[in-house]
Amino acid sequence: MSRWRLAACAWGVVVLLSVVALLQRLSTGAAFETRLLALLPESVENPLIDRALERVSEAGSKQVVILVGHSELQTASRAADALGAHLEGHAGIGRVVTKQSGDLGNAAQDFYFPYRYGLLTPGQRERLRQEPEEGLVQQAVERIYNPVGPPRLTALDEDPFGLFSEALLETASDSPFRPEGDRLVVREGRTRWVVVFVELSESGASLAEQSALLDLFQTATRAAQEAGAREVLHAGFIFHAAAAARQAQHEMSTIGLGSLLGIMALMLLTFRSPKPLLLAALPIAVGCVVALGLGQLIFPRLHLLTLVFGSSIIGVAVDYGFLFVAGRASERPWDAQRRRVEILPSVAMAVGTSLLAYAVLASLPFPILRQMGVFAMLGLAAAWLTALLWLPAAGATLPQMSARLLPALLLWAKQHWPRVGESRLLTFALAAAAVLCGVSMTRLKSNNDIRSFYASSPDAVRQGQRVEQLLRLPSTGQFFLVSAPTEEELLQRDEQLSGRLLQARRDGWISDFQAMSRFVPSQKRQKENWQLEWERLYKPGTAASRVFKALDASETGEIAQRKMQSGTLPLLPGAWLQSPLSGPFRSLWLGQGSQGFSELITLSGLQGDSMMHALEQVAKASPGVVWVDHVGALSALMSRFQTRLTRLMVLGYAVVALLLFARYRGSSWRALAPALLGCIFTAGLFGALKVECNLFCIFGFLLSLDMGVDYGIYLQETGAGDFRVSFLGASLSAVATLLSFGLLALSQTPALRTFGLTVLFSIGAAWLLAPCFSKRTV
Amino acid sequence: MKTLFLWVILTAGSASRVDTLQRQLRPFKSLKGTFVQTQQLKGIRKPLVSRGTFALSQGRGILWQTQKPFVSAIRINPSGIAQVKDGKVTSLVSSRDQPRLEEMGKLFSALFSADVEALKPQFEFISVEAPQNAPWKAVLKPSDPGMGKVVDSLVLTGQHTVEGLTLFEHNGDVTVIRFSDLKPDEALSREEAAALE
Repeated sequence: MSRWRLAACAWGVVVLLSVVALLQRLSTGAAFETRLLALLPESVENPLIDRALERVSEAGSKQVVILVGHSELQTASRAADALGAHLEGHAGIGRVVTKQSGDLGNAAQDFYFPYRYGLLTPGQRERLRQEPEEGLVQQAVERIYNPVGPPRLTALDEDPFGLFSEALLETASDSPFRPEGDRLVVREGRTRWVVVFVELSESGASLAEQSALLDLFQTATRAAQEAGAREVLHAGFIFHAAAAARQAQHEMSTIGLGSLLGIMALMLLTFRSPKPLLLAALPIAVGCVVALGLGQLIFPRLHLLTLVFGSSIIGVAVDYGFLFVAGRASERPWDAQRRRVEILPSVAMAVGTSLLAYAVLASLPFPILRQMGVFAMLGLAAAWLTALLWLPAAGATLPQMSARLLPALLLWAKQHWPRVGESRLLTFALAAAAVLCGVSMTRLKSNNDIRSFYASSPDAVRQGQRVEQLLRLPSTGQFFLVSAPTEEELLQRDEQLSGRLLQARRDGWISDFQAMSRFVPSQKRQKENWQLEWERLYKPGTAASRVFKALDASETGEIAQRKMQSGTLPLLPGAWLQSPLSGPFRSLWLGQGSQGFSELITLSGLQGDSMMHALEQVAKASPGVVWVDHVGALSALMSRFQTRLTRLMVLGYAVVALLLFARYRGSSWRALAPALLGCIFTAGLFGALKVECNLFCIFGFLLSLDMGVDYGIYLQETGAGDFRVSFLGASLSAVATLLSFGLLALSQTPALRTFGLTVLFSIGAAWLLAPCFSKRTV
Repeated sequence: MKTLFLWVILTAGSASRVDTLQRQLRPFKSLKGTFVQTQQLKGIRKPLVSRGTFALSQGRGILWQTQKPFVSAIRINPSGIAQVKDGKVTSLVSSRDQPRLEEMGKLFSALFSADVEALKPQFEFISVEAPQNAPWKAVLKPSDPGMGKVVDSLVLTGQHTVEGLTLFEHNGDVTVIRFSDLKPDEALSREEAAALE
């Protein structure tokens, strides 16, 4: 007796220490890891990819683009100003740009002017290579006479062939934006969209901050509409994140409330008192606190997903408490101490099998699985200890069970529940169903596209897609990473790849791409361009001499030639990066690292998977080029994750089966069958209904196997009371689980929904099947 | 870029805010005439002179046909600038790429409806001398900074129609165009009509 009490006190000390450790950690303000990237084992082969991904995702998560549309530019501009004024100065808003200060076109002209002889567009290069001199001369003369064609932005002797002006104009018209007045405008049919850029001050806003920002953007949109805007479009990571967070919050308050009410109702119907519920919840609460407190000592940064899934797994411990309080249904008077001794073997078996399963999980080389495994083991062990050591004291007195209905129901169940071995029909039906489901399981499809896990609002997705399409925004999930030992070699590799991408753009596979060489050609290319212009246009006796002779101004021609000859200033990336022109593209340039120079080449409007495959091939064939498909890689990783988890789950339960065999010998299959059949039926059902299986299903199966085996054990362990008591414990636990996890099947978040469906069917089946496999005792 | 101004010029009169100037301008559906263009380019001592004819039709565009010192035809309409050679049309600048061209196209259509507002976003009337029943003169400056980078100012003269213009470009070039033989509302020739299709 005093030994138990001593142990309970000792356990109290451990729990207290965990609480202290946890509080200390929380007081230092340490947050949880939330980045998805942290889930992955670091890509050892190329740390540069990680850096690139971080760069891209950080830049992306802070940026918001808003388009304010109206057929009249003035109205759209006024509305954009109203929107900007509404946003400015609020918490979380860093910078709002509704107007261009200074003309970007002028800035480009001023910046590129000194380097003009080294800059030619692909079309110009082509023409200078092919066109006979006669044509070049005639075209130049006509252009000078005619009030037509691209404007000549410089004096005649600075750019007599208008190549520089033409190139600038072409570059400008290559962009989806058009400066109109001091606005950046995108046109779509009759609508003019004024572009507003907003930079958020922090990339990782909390849920509350995100929600506040979402409200702010909504009222700002209203302000723009009141100022006359016909339509306002938003794009930015924040809108998806906030929509998902809202959805989750909404579901928590509806589904969460539903399950809480359901569980309360269950308790009141059974015991007419909430006390048993509190008793059942105590081990879970202690389990979570201990897992958190000790877990963060082991892992310096716990991932948020560990917390979410880990605590769900610890939720399995609800059945330890329920099995304990179910003893009240026995005809004997309530004795909490005796009840502890009664449930000891059952609960020890239950926790033993769980710990074994999660130990296998923790042996995976995936950091996040190791965390989850260890977290779950800590929590389950703590919950078990709490159930054993504290519940008898806390539950020394228990209210009377619900008067007549419940004992009658339990008695009916005991007498009439069909048993395998007694009912041939049941045996046959189960066998047939198992075979059918086994066949159907083979049709089960797996889909781990991480985009499908996420519940953004359809509206946020629609708006985001329209903005991306209108502005040809680069995709942040897929890009080329190009590296080379020197800056010059990097630009040359870039130019090679850009040539192919230009072709892909002409073929309509991409709508655009962003690469450094489009702004700053390599030195080699600049020299080639200069050489080409010299040979074809400026060298004495060639086109320039003839053009100026035709204008009767040969001396001006000589000036033009001299200017060209001395105009060999090389343009280097550094100069461009420092100019305001590079603004939106600066993040592409990763610059110098430990292994030379690198940059990103991003794509817009990528069409189709086959193109993706082709791009991958292009990258493979080009030295120093890596195709990074972040979304694809994450999805593939999730699939790999799922496969490994499935294998480990099978392995884990093979080990569990051995443990069960050690205790129950010939009838160990009776403990395992309900859980196993539950999972097979569910998988079969998913296969038949074409529900796509994903990582979260596997977590559901893991949880269900764990609990299902527990039910099987409880109904085998006759020491814990007769069938009625064990079945009551299992039923309370199953119904509570169905109400808490199973209701997630109603969730709009795809990941939660599949998890909920899995738990709903497999636990439901395991619960109803467990009595079928119990041996009849009189 | 000069083309843009040509357009503006031919359309400017009716869009002017100045009442007297506006009263003098006669509305027309089409306008034909000849032009002499004299360019004084910086660094070129001798002025460059070209001559030819033009035809303008409401809502359809303008055809600018140089006859000397070489033969060429340019069509300007709301969709952009194109070269017309032997009945074949080759686009030079599309207004899809240069939205300002389309702006100009709109000014062009606004010509006959005397849409004063249409010029406002682009130009500012610096001075207007418009005595009753006598030739007038207006000086315009681009209010758009982008255009201001290219054009310093623009001088228009005329009476019932625009008859002359002088364009002072930022790079120091000066272009003078004089219109003569102006025939309002004369039917377009078949070639002209075809080129303006």
